[in-house]
Amino acid sequence: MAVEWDTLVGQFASTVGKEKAESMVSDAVNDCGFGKKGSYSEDEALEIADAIHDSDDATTYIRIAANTLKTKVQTGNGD
Amino acid sequence: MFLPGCLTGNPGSSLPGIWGPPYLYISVSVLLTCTKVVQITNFGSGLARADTGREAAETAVRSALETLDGDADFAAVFCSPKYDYDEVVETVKEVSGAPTLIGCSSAGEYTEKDVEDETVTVALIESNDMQFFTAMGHGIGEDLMGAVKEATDALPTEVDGYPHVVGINLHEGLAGKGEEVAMAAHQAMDNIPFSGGSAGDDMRFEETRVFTEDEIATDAVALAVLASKKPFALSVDHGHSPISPPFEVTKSEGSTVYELDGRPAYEVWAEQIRRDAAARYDIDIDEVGDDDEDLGFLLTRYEFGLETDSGNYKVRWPGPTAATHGTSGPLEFACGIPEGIVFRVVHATNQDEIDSPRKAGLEARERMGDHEAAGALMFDCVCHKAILEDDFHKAVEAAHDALGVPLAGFETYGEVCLREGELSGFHNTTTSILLIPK
Repeated sequence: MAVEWDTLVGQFASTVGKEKAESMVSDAVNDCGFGKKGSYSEDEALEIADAIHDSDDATTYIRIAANTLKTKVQTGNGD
Repeated sequence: MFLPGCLTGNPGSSLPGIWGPPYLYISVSVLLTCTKVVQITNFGSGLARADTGREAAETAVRSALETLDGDADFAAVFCSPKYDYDEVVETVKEVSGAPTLIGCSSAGEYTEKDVEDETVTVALIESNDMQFFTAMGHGIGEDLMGAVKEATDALPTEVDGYPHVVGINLHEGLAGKGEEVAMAAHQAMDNIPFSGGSAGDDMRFEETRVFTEDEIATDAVALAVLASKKPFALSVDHGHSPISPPFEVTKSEGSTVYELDGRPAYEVWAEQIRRDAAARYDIDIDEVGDDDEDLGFLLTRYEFGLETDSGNYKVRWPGPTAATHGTSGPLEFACGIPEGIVFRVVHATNQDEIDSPRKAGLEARERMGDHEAAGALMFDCVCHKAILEDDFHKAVEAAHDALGVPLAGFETYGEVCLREGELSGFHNTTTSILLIPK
Protein backbone atom coordinates (compact mmCIF):
# COMPACT_ATOMS: atom_id res chain seq x y z
CA MET A 1 0.00 0.00 0.00
CA ALA A 2 1.50 3.35 -1.04
CA VAL A 3 1.77 6.08 1.55
CA GLU A 4 1.47 9.61 0.19
CA TRP A 5 3.98 12.35 1.04
CA ASP A 6 1.10 14.47 2.35
CA THR A 7 0.00 11.62 4.60
CA LEU A 8 3.47 11.31 6.12
CA VAL A 9 3.63 15.04 6.79
CA GLY A 10 0.05 15.14 8.01
CA GLN A 11 0.70 12.44 10.61
CA PHE A 12 3.22 14.67 12.35
CA ALA A 13 1.70 18.07 11.60
CA SER A 14 -0.93 17.74 14.34
CA THR A 15 1.89 17.20 16.83
CA VAL A 16 4.65 19.55 15.75
CA GLY A 17 2.96 21.83 13.22
CA LYS A 18 3.15 21.61 9.49
CA GLU A 19 6.51 23.38 9.03
CA LYS A 20 8.38 21.14 11.48
CA ALA A 21 6.59 18.08 10.11
CA GLU A 22 7.73 18.90 6.54
CA SER A 23 11.26 19.45 7.75
CA MET A 24 11.32 16.18 9.76
CA VAL A 25 9.95 14.08 6.93
CA SER A 26 12.31 15.73 4.40
CA ASP A 27 15.33 14.99 6.58
CA ALA A 28 14.19 11.43 7.10
CA VAL A 29 13.59 10.65 3.40
CA ASN A 30 17.01 12.11 2.57
CA ASP A 31 18.69 10.09 5.33
CA CYS A 32 17.01 6.98 3.91
CA GLY A 33 18.17 7.88 0.41
CA PHE A 34 14.65 8.01 -1.06
CA GLY A 35 14.37 11.69 -1.96
CA LYS A 36 11.09 13.57 -2.06
CA LYS A 37 8.41 11.92 -4.19
CA GLY A 38 4.64 11.72 -4.30
CA SER A 39 4.30 8.45 -2.47
CA TYR A 40 6.34 5.74 -0.78
CA SER A 41 5.96 2.00 -0.53
CA GLU A 42 4.95 0.45 2.77
CA ASP A 43 8.55 -0.63 3.44
CA GLU A 44 9.86 2.84 2.61
CA ALA A 45 7.26 4.47 4.88
CA LEU A 46 8.29 2.19 7.75
CA GLU A 47 11.92 3.07 7.18
CA ILE A 48 11.07 6.78 7.17
CA ALA A 49 9.16 6.39 10.45
CA ASP A 50 12.16 4.59 11.97
CA ALA A 51 14.50 7.36 10.81
CA ILE A 52 12.29 9.98 12.48
CA HIS A 53 12.04 7.87 15.64
CA ASP A 54 15.81 7.45 15.85
CA SER A 55 16.82 11.02 14.98
CA ASP A 56 18.88 12.83 17.60
CA ASP A 57 16.37 15.59 18.20
CA ALA A 58 13.30 13.35 18.40
CA THR A 59 11.42 14.10 21.60
CA THR A 60 9.26 11.57 23.40
CA TYR A 61 6.12 12.50 21.62
CA ILE A 62 7.78 12.59 18.21
CA ARG A 63 8.89 9.01 18.87
CA ILE A 64 5.36 8.11 19.91
CA ALA A 65 4.02 9.68 16.72
CA ALA A 66 6.54 7.72 14.66
CA ASN A 67 5.50 4.46 16.32
CA THR A 68 1.84 5.23 15.74
CA LEU A 69 2.57 5.91 12.07
CA LYS A 70 4.32 2.54 11.79
CA THR A 71 1.33 0.79 13.34
CA LYS A 72 -1.02 2.51 10.93
CA VAL A 73 1.10 1.59 7.92
CA GLN A 74 1.43 -2.02 9.06
CA THR A 75 -2.30 -2.35 9.63
CA GLY A 76 -3.17 -0.71 6.33
CA ASN A 77 -4.51 2.50 7.87
CA GLY A 78 -1.68 4.71 6.67
CA ASP A 79 -3.91 6.92 4.51
CA MET B 1 -37.48 -4.67 33.43
CA PHE B 2 -41.05 -4.09 32.31
CA LEU B 3 -43.81 -6.03 30.61
CA PRO B 4 -45.74 -4.22 27.92
CA GLY B 5 -49.29 -5.39 27.68
CA CYS B 6 -48.74 -8.20 25.18
CA LEU B 7 -50.67 -11.06 26.63
CA THR B 8 -52.04 -13.56 24.17
CA GLY B 9 -53.83 -16.79 24.52
CA ASN B 10 -53.43 -19.97 22.58
CA PRO B 11 -54.53 -22.84 24.76
CA GLY B 12 -53.92 -25.24 21.94
CA SER B 13 -50.27 -24.41 21.71
CA SER B 14 -47.78 -27.09 22.59
CA LEU B 15 -45.49 -24.46 24.09
CA PRO B 16 -45.27 -24.39 27.86
CA GLY B 17 -47.22 -21.63 29.50
CA ILE B 18 -49.04 -20.41 32.52
CA TRP B 19 -52.76 -20.93 33.07
CA GLY B 20 -54.66 -18.23 34.89
CA PRO B 21 -58.31 -17.47 35.31
CA PRO B 22 -60.34 -17.12 33.20
CA TYR B 23 -58.82 -18.98 30.30
CA LEU B 24 -55.91 -16.61 30.26
CA TYR B 25 -52.85 -18.30 28.88
CA ILE B 26 -49.54 -16.64 28.69
CA SER B 27 -47.10 -18.62 26.64
CA VAL B 28 -43.55 -18.50 27.87
CA SER B 29 -42.29 -17.63 24.42
CA VAL B 30 -44.60 -14.64 24.24
CA LEU B 31 -43.65 -13.67 27.76
CA LEU B 32 -39.99 -13.77 26.85
CA THR B 33 -40.63 -11.85 23.64
CA CYS B 34 -42.54 -9.17 25.48
CA THR B 35 -40.07 -8.93 28.29
CA LYS B 36 -37.67 -6.13 27.49
CA VAL B 37 -34.80 -4.64 29.44
CA VAL B 38 -34.91 -0.89 29.02
CA GLN B 39 -31.31 0.09 28.37
CA ILE B 40 -30.74 3.50 29.72
CA THR B 41 -28.09 5.80 31.09
CA ASN B 42 -28.79 8.55 33.60
CA PHE B 43 -26.31 11.38 34.24
CA GLY B 44 -26.34 13.69 37.23
CA SER B 45 -24.13 16.64 38.13
CA GLY B 46 -23.54 18.33 41.47
CA LEU B 47 -21.31 21.08 42.82
CA ALA B 48 -20.82 22.30 46.39
CA ARG B 49 -18.56 24.40 48.52
CA ALA B 50 -18.30 23.79 52.28
CA ASP B 51 -15.97 23.95 55.24
CA THR B 52 -14.90 20.34 54.89
CA GLY B 53 -14.38 17.94 52.02
CA ARG B 54 -16.89 15.54 53.51
CA GLU B 55 -19.65 18.14 53.57
CA ALA B 56 -18.88 19.46 50.09
CA ALA B 57 -18.68 15.96 48.59
CA GLU B 58 -21.88 14.79 50.26
CA THR B 59 -23.83 17.85 49.11
CA ALA B 60 -22.51 17.59 45.55
CA VAL B 61 -23.26 13.88 45.33
CA ARG B 62 -26.79 14.19 46.73
CA SER B 63 -27.49 16.88 44.17
CA ALA B 64 -26.24 14.65 41.35
CA LEU B 65 -28.20 11.65 42.65
CA GLU B 66 -31.47 13.52 42.11
CA THR B 67 -31.45 12.64 38.42
CA LEU B 68 -30.52 9.01 38.97
CA ASP B 69 -32.96 6.23 39.87
CA GLY B 70 -30.57 4.45 42.20
CA ASP B 71 -26.89 4.27 43.01
CA ALA B 72 -24.29 5.48 40.56
CA ASP B 73 -22.19 3.05 38.54
CA PHE B 74 -19.43 5.56 37.86
CA ALA B 75 -18.31 8.85 39.35
CA ALA B 76 -16.07 11.62 38.02
CA VAL B 77 -14.80 13.96 40.76
CA PHE B 78 -13.11 17.34 40.42
CA CYS B 79 -11.83 18.76 43.66
CA SER B 80 -10.26 22.01 44.78
CA PRO B 81 -6.99 21.60 46.73
CA LYS B 82 -8.80 23.38 49.55
CA TYR B 83 -10.16 19.97 50.59
CA ASP B 84 -8.73 16.70 51.84
CA TYR B 85 -8.75 14.52 48.75
CA ASP B 86 -8.99 11.24 50.69
CA GLU B 87 -12.03 12.51 52.55
CA VAL B 88 -13.67 13.68 49.33
CA VAL B 89 -13.09 10.45 47.39
CA GLU B 90 -14.27 8.26 50.26
CA THR B 91 -17.40 10.34 50.70
CA VAL B 92 -18.23 10.29 46.99
CA LYS B 93 -17.88 6.51 46.92
CA GLU B 94 -19.92 6.03 50.06
CA VAL B 95 -22.79 8.37 49.24
CA SER B 96 -23.04 7.66 45.50
CA GLY B 97 -22.46 3.93 45.73
CA ALA B 98 -20.23 4.16 42.66
CA PRO B 99 -17.78 1.26 42.49
CA THR B 100 -15.60 2.99 39.90
CA LEU B 101 -14.32 6.54 40.09
CA ILE B 102 -11.90 8.85 38.32
CA GLY B 103 -11.00 12.38 39.27
CA CYS B 104 -8.37 14.96 39.99
CA SER B 105 -7.50 18.16 41.74
CA SER B 106 -8.69 21.18 39.81
CA ALA B 107 -8.50 24.94 39.38
CA GLY B 108 -12.17 25.88 39.26
CA GLU B 109 -15.23 23.73 38.65
CA TYR B 110 -18.67 23.96 37.03
CA THR B 111 -21.91 22.25 36.19
CA GLU B 112 -24.72 23.36 33.92
CA LYS B 113 -26.14 25.25 36.92
CA ASP B 114 -23.10 26.78 38.61
CA VAL B 115 -19.60 28.02 37.97
CA GLU B 116 -17.51 28.30 41.12
CA ASP B 117 -14.10 28.00 42.67
CA GLU B 118 -13.08 25.91 45.68
CA THR B 119 -15.71 23.24 45.23
CA VAL B 120 -16.18 19.53 44.98
CA THR B 121 -17.91 18.83 41.67
CA VAL B 122 -19.14 15.44 40.57
CA ALA B 123 -20.66 13.76 37.57
CA LEU B 124 -22.48 10.51 38.29
CA ILE B 125 -23.46 7.96 35.68
CA GLU B 126 -26.01 5.23 36.28
CA SER B 127 -26.27 2.80 33.40
CA ASN B 128 -27.22 -0.74 32.50
CA ASP B 129 -25.84 0.05 29.06
CA MET B 130 -22.23 0.72 29.96
CA GLN B 131 -19.24 -0.83 31.68
CA PHE B 132 -16.57 1.17 33.53
CA PHE B 133 -12.91 0.49 34.27
CA THR B 134 -10.17 2.58 35.89
CA ALA B 135 -6.43 2.30 36.47
CA MET B 136 -3.50 4.40 37.71
CA GLY B 137 0.06 4.72 36.47
CA HIS B 138 2.84 6.21 38.62
CA GLY B 139 6.02 8.16 38.05
CA ILE B 140 5.32 10.30 34.99
CA GLY B 141 8.25 12.60 35.75
CA GLU B 142 10.87 9.86 35.75
CA ASP B 143 9.40 7.27 33.39
CA LEU B 144 6.43 8.53 31.44
CA MET B 145 6.11 5.51 29.16
CA GLY B 146 6.37 3.17 32.15
CA ALA B 147 3.65 5.07 34.00
CA VAL B 148 1.33 4.98 31.02
CA LYS B 149 2.03 1.28 30.47
CA GLU B 150 1.23 0.53 34.12
CA ALA B 151 -2.21 2.08 33.67
CA THR B 152 -3.01 0.86 30.18
CA ASP B 153 -1.96 -2.74 30.91
CA ALA B 154 -4.76 -2.88 33.46
CA LEU B 155 -7.49 -1.70 31.09
CA PRO B 156 -9.46 -3.32 28.27
CA THR B 157 -9.67 -1.78 24.82
CA GLU B 158 -12.61 -3.98 23.84
CA VAL B 159 -15.53 -5.22 25.92
CA ASP B 160 -17.77 -7.98 24.58
CA GLY B 161 -21.26 -6.68 23.93
CA TYR B 162 -20.22 -3.04 24.27
CA PRO B 163 -18.85 -1.95 20.89
CA HIS B 164 -18.28 1.74 21.67
CA VAL B 165 -15.27 2.50 23.84
CA VAL B 166 -13.82 5.80 25.03
CA GLY B 167 -11.10 6.73 27.49
CA ILE B 168 -10.79 9.51 30.05
CA ASN B 169 -7.23 10.68 30.74
CA LEU B 170 -6.52 12.78 33.82
CA HIS B 171 -2.84 13.33 34.56
CA GLU B 172 -0.26 15.26 36.56
CA GLY B 173 -0.68 18.91 35.65
CA LEU B 174 2.77 20.24 36.52
CA ALA B 175 5.06 17.80 34.71
CA GLY B 176 4.87 19.65 31.40
CA LYS B 177 4.21 16.35 29.62
CA GLY B 178 0.55 16.57 28.68
CA GLU B 179 1.10 15.89 25.00
CA GLU B 180 3.27 12.88 25.70
CA VAL B 181 0.84 11.36 28.21
CA ALA B 182 -2.11 11.90 25.89
CA MET B 183 -0.41 10.36 22.87
CA ALA B 184 1.17 7.46 24.75
CA ALA B 185 -2.13 6.39 26.35
CA HIS B 186 -3.98 6.65 23.03
CA GLN B 187 -1.36 4.55 21.26
CA ALA B 188 -1.09 1.96 24.03
CA MET B 189 -4.87 1.53 24.07
CA ASP B 190 -5.14 0.64 20.38
CA ASN B 191 -5.99 4.24 19.49
CA ILE B 192 -9.34 4.36 21.30
CA PRO B 193 -10.57 7.97 21.54
CA PHE B 194 -9.69 9.91 24.67
CA SER B 195 -11.03 12.96 26.43
CA GLY B 196 -9.71 14.55 29.59
CA GLY B 197 -7.23 17.02 30.96
CA SER B 198 -4.26 17.93 33.12
CA ALA B 199 -5.02 18.22 36.82
CA GLY B 200 -4.93 21.68 38.39
CA ASP B 201 -4.41 23.14 41.86
CA ASP B 202 -6.20 26.48 42.03
CA MET B 203 -3.31 28.21 40.22
CA ARG B 204 -0.93 27.52 43.12
CA PHE B 205 1.40 25.52 40.83
CA GLU B 206 2.56 23.44 43.80
CA GLU B 207 1.10 19.94 43.47
CA THR B 208 -1.69 18.23 41.56
CA ARG B 209 -3.31 14.87 42.24
CA VAL B 210 -5.31 12.33 40.27
CA PHE B 211 -7.77 9.81 41.72
CA THR B 212 -9.31 6.44 41.08
CA GLU B 213 -11.61 4.60 43.46
CA ASP B 214 -8.55 2.84 44.91
CA GLU B 215 -5.95 5.53 45.07
CA ILE B 216 -4.93 9.19 45.08
CA ALA B 217 -1.51 10.03 43.65
CA THR B 218 0.70 12.81 42.40
CA ASP B 219 3.09 12.50 39.45
CA ALA B 220 0.62 10.03 38.02
CA VAL B 221 -1.94 9.35 35.31
CA ALA B 222 -5.48 8.10 35.99
CA LEU B 223 -7.28 6.48 33.11
CA ALA B 224 -10.87 5.34 32.76
CA VAL B 225 -12.43 3.25 30.02
CA LEU B 226 -16.14 3.59 29.36
CA ALA B 227 -17.65 0.88 27.14
CA SER B 228 -21.16 1.38 25.82
CA LYS B 229 -23.76 -0.15 23.56
CA LYS B 230 -24.31 3.30 22.08
CA PRO B 231 -21.76 5.76 20.65
CA PHE B 232 -20.00 8.57 22.49
CA ALA B 233 -19.04 11.87 20.88
CA LEU B 234 -15.89 13.94 21.43
CA SER B 235 -15.29 17.51 20.35
CA VAL B 236 -12.76 20.28 20.82
CA ASP B 237 -12.53 23.97 19.93
CA HIS B 238 -10.73 27.21 20.80
CA GLY B 239 -11.21 30.83 19.82
CA HIS B 240 -7.64 31.93 19.00
CA SER B 241 -6.31 33.43 15.77
CA PRO B 242 -2.74 34.38 14.78
CA ILE B 243 -1.62 37.99 15.15
CA SER B 244 2.07 37.69 14.33
CA PRO B 245 4.36 36.40 11.62
CA PRO B 246 5.89 32.95 12.16
CA PHE B 247 8.89 32.33 14.44
CA GLU B 248 10.96 29.19 14.66
CA VAL B 249 11.87 27.63 18.00
CA THR B 250 15.64 27.65 17.66
CA LYS B 251 16.57 26.60 21.18
CA SER B 252 14.47 24.60 23.60
CA GLU B 253 14.65 21.87 26.17
CA GLY B 254 11.58 19.97 27.27
CA SER B 255 8.85 22.51 27.93
CA THR B 256 11.24 25.49 28.05
CA VAL B 257 11.75 27.60 24.94
CA TYR B 258 14.92 29.67 25.20
CA GLU B 259 15.05 31.23 21.76
CA LEU B 260 12.77 32.12 18.87
CA ASP B 261 14.59 32.88 15.62
CA GLY B 262 17.85 32.98 17.55
CA ARG B 263 16.68 35.63 20.02
CA PRO B 264 15.49 35.35 23.64
CA ALA B 265 11.96 33.99 23.45
CA TYR B 266 10.43 36.43 25.92
CA GLU B 267 11.88 39.36 24.00
CA VAL B 268 10.33 38.17 20.73
CA TRP B 269 6.96 37.62 22.36
CA ALA B 270 7.00 41.03 24.06
CA GLU B 271 7.88 42.72 20.79
CA GLN B 272 4.98 41.08 18.99
CA ILE B 273 2.36 41.95 21.59
CA ARG B 274 3.59 45.44 22.53
CA ARG B 275 1.30 47.50 20.32
CA ASP B 276 -1.80 45.31 20.70
CA ALA B 277 -1.44 45.03 24.49
CA ALA B 278 -1.18 48.80 24.80
CA ALA B 279 -4.16 49.44 22.54
CA ARG B 280 -6.40 46.69 23.81
CA TYR B 281 -5.51 46.48 27.52
CA ASP B 282 -3.65 49.74 28.15
CA ILE B 283 -0.60 47.77 29.37
CA ASP B 284 2.96 48.75 28.55
CA ILE B 285 4.79 45.42 28.31
CA ASP B 286 8.12 47.14 28.88
CA GLU B 287 6.95 48.24 32.33
CA VAL B 288 5.82 44.74 33.36
CA GLY B 289 8.08 43.10 35.95
CA ASP B 290 8.55 39.55 37.18
CA ASP B 291 6.10 39.85 40.05
CA ASP B 292 3.62 41.95 38.15
CA GLU B 293 0.12 40.45 37.80
CA ASP B 294 -0.01 41.88 34.30
CA LEU B 295 2.65 39.38 33.25
CA GLY B 296 0.41 36.39 33.90
CA PHE B 297 -2.49 38.30 32.39
CA LEU B 298 -0.66 38.91 29.13
CA LEU B 299 0.90 35.43 28.90
CA THR B 300 -2.63 34.03 29.01
CA ARG B 301 -4.10 36.39 26.44
CA TYR B 302 -1.20 36.25 24.00
CA GLU B 303 -0.34 32.60 23.57
CA PHE B 304 1.28 30.65 20.78
CA GLY B 305 -0.27 28.61 18.00
CA LEU B 306 1.25 26.00 15.76
CA GLU B 307 -0.42 25.51 12.44
CA THR B 308 -1.42 21.87 12.07
CA ASP B 309 -3.07 22.11 8.68
CA SER B 310 -4.33 24.90 6.54
CA GLY B 311 -5.72 27.55 8.83
CA ASN B 312 -6.04 25.36 11.92
CA TYR B 313 -3.93 26.10 14.97
CA LYS B 314 -3.19 24.17 18.11
CA VAL B 315 -2.72 26.53 21.04
CA ARG B 316 0.27 26.35 23.37
CA TRP B 317 0.08 28.31 26.64
CA PRO B 318 3.24 30.04 27.95
CA GLY B 319 1.51 30.77 31.27
CA PRO B 320 3.97 28.87 33.51
CA THR B 321 6.58 31.49 32.53
CA ALA B 322 5.26 33.87 35.18
CA ALA B 323 6.03 31.40 37.99
CA THR B 324 9.35 30.18 36.56
CA HIS B 325 11.41 32.55 34.42
CA GLY B 326 9.50 35.81 34.63
CA THR B 327 10.81 38.33 32.12
CA SER B 328 14.33 36.93 32.13
CA GLY B 329 14.26 35.37 28.69
CA PRO B 330 12.89 31.81 28.39
CA LEU B 331 9.22 30.96 27.97
CA GLU B 332 7.79 27.98 29.83
CA PHE B 333 4.99 25.85 28.39
CA ALA B 334 2.66 23.12 29.67
CA CYS B 335 4.10 20.49 27.32
CA GLY B 336 7.30 19.71 25.44
CA ILE B 337 8.21 22.09 22.62
CA PRO B 338 10.87 20.66 20.30
CA GLU B 339 13.25 22.82 18.30
CA GLY B 340 12.15 23.52 14.77
CA ILE B 341 8.49 24.08 15.65
CA VAL B 342 7.11 27.23 14.04
CA PHE B 343 4.93 29.39 16.26
CA ARG B 344 2.74 32.40 15.75
CA VAL B 345 1.45 34.58 18.58
CA VAL B 346 -2.32 34.04 18.86
CA HIS B 347 -5.06 35.97 20.59
CA ALA B 348 -8.79 35.60 21.20
CA THR B 349 -11.38 38.23 22.06
CA ASN B 350 -13.77 37.62 24.94
CA GLN B 351 -16.55 36.86 22.47
CA ASP B 352 -14.37 34.30 20.69
CA GLU B 353 -13.82 32.64 24.06
CA ILE B 354 -17.56 32.43 24.68
CA ASP B 355 -18.33 31.21 21.16
CA SER B 356 -15.77 28.41 21.10
CA PRO B 357 -17.40 26.26 23.84
CA ARG B 358 -20.69 26.69 22.01
CA LYS B 359 -19.06 25.44 18.82
CA ALA B 360 -17.55 22.51 20.69
CA GLY B 361 -20.98 21.67 22.09
CA LEU B 362 -22.61 21.84 18.68
CA GLU B 363 -19.90 19.68 17.18
CA ALA B 364 -20.39 17.05 19.88
CA ARG B 365 -24.13 16.93 19.24
CA GLU B 366 -23.54 16.63 15.51
CA ARG B 367 -21.06 13.81 16.02
CA MET B 368 -23.59 11.93 18.14
CA GLY B 369 -26.02 11.96 15.22
CA ASP B 370 -29.52 10.70 16.01
CA HIS B 371 -28.57 9.18 19.36
CA GLU B 372 -29.85 10.83 22.51
CA ALA B 373 -27.35 12.19 25.02
CA ALA B 374 -27.47 11.76 28.79
CA GLY B 375 -24.83 14.25 29.88
CA ALA B 376 -21.39 15.65 29.21
CA LEU B 377 -17.98 15.96 30.80
CA MET B 378 -16.33 19.22 29.84
CA PHE B 379 -12.64 19.96 30.26
CA ASP B 380 -11.90 23.64 29.88
CA CYS B 381 -8.65 25.53 30.35
CA VAL B 382 -7.84 27.79 33.31
CA CYS B 383 -6.82 30.29 30.65
CA HIS B 384 -10.43 30.54 29.57
CA LYS B 385 -11.44 31.67 33.05
CA ALA B 386 -8.44 33.98 33.29
CA ILE B 387 -9.43 35.66 30.04
CA LEU B 388 -13.18 35.88 30.67
CA GLU B 389 -12.97 36.48 34.43
CA ASP B 390 -16.50 37.12 35.73
CA ASP B 391 -17.92 36.27 32.29
CA PHE B 392 -16.57 32.71 32.33
CA HIS B 393 -20.04 31.46 33.26
CA LYS B 394 -21.15 32.62 29.81
CA ALA B 395 -18.74 30.14 28.22
CA VAL B 396 -20.15 27.27 30.30
CA GLU B 397 -23.70 28.41 29.55
CA ALA B 398 -22.89 28.57 25.85
CA ALA B 399 -21.68 24.97 25.93
CA HIS B 400 -24.75 23.89 27.89
CA ASP B 401 -27.09 25.67 25.48
CA ALA B 402 -25.52 23.79 22.59
CA LEU B 403 -25.45 20.42 24.38
CA GLY B 404 -28.86 20.57 26.06
CA VAL B 405 -27.87 18.05 28.74
CA PRO B 406 -26.39 18.20 32.25
CA LEU B 407 -22.67 18.72 32.35
CA ALA B 408 -19.83 18.72 34.85
CA GLY B 409 -16.24 19.72 34.47
CA PHE B 410 -13.20 21.53 35.74
CA GLU B 411 -10.62 24.09 34.72
CA THR B 412 -7.56 22.25 33.58
CA TYR B 413 -3.88 22.93 33.01
CA GLY B 414 -4.30 21.40 29.54
CA GLU B 415 -7.01 19.53 27.68
CA VAL B 416 -7.09 16.15 25.95
CA CYS B 417 -9.19 15.28 22.92
CA LEU B 418 -7.90 12.48 20.73
CA ARG B 419 -10.39 11.01 18.32
CA GLU B 420 -10.08 8.02 16.03
CA GLY B 421 -7.53 8.68 13.32
CA GLU B 422 -5.88 11.52 15.20
CA LEU B 423 -2.27 11.35 16.29
CA SER B 424 -2.05 14.24 18.69
CA GLY B 425 -4.60 15.61 21.10
CA PHE B 426 -3.19 17.89 23.80
CA HIS B 427 -4.55 21.43 23.80
CA ASN B 428 -4.42 24.67 25.76
CA THR B 429 -7.05 27.39 26.17
CA THR B 430 -9.44 24.99 24.53
CA THR B 431 -12.73 23.30 25.40
CA SER B 432 -12.81 19.51 25.21
CA ILE B 433 -16.17 17.77 25.53
CA LEU B 434 -17.10 14.10 26.03
CA LEU B 435 -20.79 13.52 25.34
CA ILE B 436 -22.26 10.45 27.06
CA PRO B 437 -25.09 8.58 25.28
CA LYS B 438 -28.49 8.07 26.91
